[in-house]
Amino acid sequence: MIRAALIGNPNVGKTEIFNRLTGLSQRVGNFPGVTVEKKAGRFYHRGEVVEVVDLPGIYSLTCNARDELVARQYLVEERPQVVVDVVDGTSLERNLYLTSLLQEMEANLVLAVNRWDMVKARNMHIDLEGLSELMGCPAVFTVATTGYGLQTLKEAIIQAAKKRDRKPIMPTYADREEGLIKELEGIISQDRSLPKRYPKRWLAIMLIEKDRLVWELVAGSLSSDQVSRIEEVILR
Amino acid sequence: MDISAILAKSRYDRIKDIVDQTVTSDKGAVKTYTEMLDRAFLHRYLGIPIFLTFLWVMFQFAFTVSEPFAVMIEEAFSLLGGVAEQRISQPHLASFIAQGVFGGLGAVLVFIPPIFGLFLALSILEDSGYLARAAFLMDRLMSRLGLCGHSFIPMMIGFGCNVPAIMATRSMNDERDRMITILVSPFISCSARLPVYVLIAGAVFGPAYAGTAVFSVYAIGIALAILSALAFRKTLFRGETSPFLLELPEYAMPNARSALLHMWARGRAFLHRAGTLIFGTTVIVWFLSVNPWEATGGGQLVAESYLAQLGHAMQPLVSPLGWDWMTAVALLFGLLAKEVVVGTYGVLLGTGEATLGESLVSLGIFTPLSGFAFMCFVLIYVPCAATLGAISRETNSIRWPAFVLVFQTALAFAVSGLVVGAGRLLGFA
Amino acid sequence: MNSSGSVRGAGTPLALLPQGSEGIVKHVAADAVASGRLADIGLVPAARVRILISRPPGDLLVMVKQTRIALDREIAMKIIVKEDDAR
Repeated sequence: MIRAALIGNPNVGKTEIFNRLTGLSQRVGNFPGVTVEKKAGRFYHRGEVVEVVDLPGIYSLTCNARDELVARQYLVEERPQVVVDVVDGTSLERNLYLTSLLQEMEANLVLAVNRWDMVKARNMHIDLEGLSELMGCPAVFTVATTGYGLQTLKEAIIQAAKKRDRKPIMPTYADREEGLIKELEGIISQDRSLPKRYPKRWLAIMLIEKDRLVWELVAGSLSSDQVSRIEEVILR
Repeated sequence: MDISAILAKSRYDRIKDIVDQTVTSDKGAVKTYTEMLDRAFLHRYLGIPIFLTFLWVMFQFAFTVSEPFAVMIEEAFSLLGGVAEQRISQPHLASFIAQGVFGGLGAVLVFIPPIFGLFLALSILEDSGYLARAAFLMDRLMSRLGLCGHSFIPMMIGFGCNVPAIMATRSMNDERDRMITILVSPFISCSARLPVYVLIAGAVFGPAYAGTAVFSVYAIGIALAILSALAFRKTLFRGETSPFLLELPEYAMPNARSALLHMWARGRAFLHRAGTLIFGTTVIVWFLSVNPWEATGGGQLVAESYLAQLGHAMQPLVSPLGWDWMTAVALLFGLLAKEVVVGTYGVLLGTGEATLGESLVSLGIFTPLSGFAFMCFVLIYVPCAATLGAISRETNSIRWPAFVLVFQTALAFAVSGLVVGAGRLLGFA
Repeated sequence: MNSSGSVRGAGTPLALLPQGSEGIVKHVAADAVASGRLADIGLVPAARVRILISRPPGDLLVMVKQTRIALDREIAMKIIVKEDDAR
């Protein structure tokens, strides 16, 4: 069984896509320990069973908001095989921000570029292949309200689950920031368990952003000597 | 620049680069529906009147349009009850099935048309994108009143049922705003209390003034909500308010299926949480009203039942306000589920709903003054057990529902006492 | 035209710009959490912002990265924008 997660900004049509993918199979529950609703369902396609978890509609993955944290925890702890990022084709510039954060988490992405009908209605044109190449992941046009593209999306999800060897493409920063990241990655690598469980670069970036929970996680795992070195790097 | 801002900017720069390479738009900007509709809905002078109109339509749809269906459901269950009593020979069982089971089911299901109607209307407004505009229009006013624009939708839901309203506060980011909204939600008069208002107001004020009386109770509720919000903001939840940031999505034609699914998601909470309690409470009331079996003659002489004994024991608590033991009992069970208050009177007086109002007046149970005080009491005193349960779950504590329990009950006595006191001073009885 | 900010690189708080004007965000003078939330929806330095509705003392409606965002005046006072020259 393939485990997939659905994520995206609010108001992009993610819920409709989830409904179309999972239909009546959806069940509602809670994410463990929090009052955030968790919807899950499944679909069958070409002999494969795919379980889809609908993550909350969010703009970012900080630890400051309940739904963002829940989504982040799910992605980082449960490590779904495929993450479907639903973006609104008519406002890609904002939507792709979350996508870039997901890339930093090394999520195995499939982009669902929704509202393709609106894109065309506004005389906009999106080079899907170019987008796919630049983002380093498969991209599919969808129109959730009519169901257009859903079959292609299902296919893409299954293909993505099978092909997990891609080197992820992600944002790069200016020299100074990259330098800090490399240093932090170096310190983290010395730990035995952390690098295996979480992507090093993501941890480093979260530390630089002074993310409280990542800090606690890392501080709890490293020696006090390493922790103070990290502190020193962050405060520069 | 702060390092997070530097990283964010780099990310956006890269995205802009990617978008520039892959997206081309026609330079002649297409006039979107959204622009045109916002011109009207967010109009400097027309915006708020339009909003109030939508609000009015929504409530009309929820309560007026759904009324015939509610009546149908009520009649259907009465009928079923009657049939059960005739067909079932064992008197205990007959009574249980007719009054307990069918009574209980009827009590729950009769609320489905208004509650689901409201939620359907809300879902359509929400899915279309309009509700975000309403939150935008209302935010400033709500902030001055201690709340915030994001509280708007949960409060609207509260007019249907407080349980999904409290659950809807999950989307609120700021914990303080969220807590205040939760604590203030019991003042939003849910649809369970409306039949009580309608019954009492109709009985003691007559058809001419009943509407005004009900409206003023709702208004008092909103006023108290505002006052409490302001008080909480100044005392329990001091501090800077969180910035109000809301995306106004493009308008979209709501499609039937998702609106219905959305409605169902909220209505489910009512059925599951409140519904079970309503049903359970009705059965408990039934049981206490027909036992001891011999004394009550199989439920005929309610005055001899445990229910009556309970009421008499509680009477001292409410007689200063001019109420009798029947009211005491009705209020007691209203703690579990407000929907049961009217039904309890029905059981105690042994009449059907139609003549209930007259009986209340002719038997001297309520005067206009004590009736109005009672309506205020029902507005304010403890929200139903399902609501308390929701508060407990959403705040992850026992402390807050306990606070609400004590606070609301005390306030209810205080306000009703004030009403009665002022009324007596003015010469009413 | 405006007298706030330093002489060089004059910027105006978003809250003080008139309806219909456009500009580029210079910096955000808010705390870490608020800045983060603004960044999440695209209000970062160098972002282009257009004021759709501004009727003091009510909330503002701006267009950022093809998205309509409503925000209160308080936070809008902390977003410093360099207004475009009159068109």
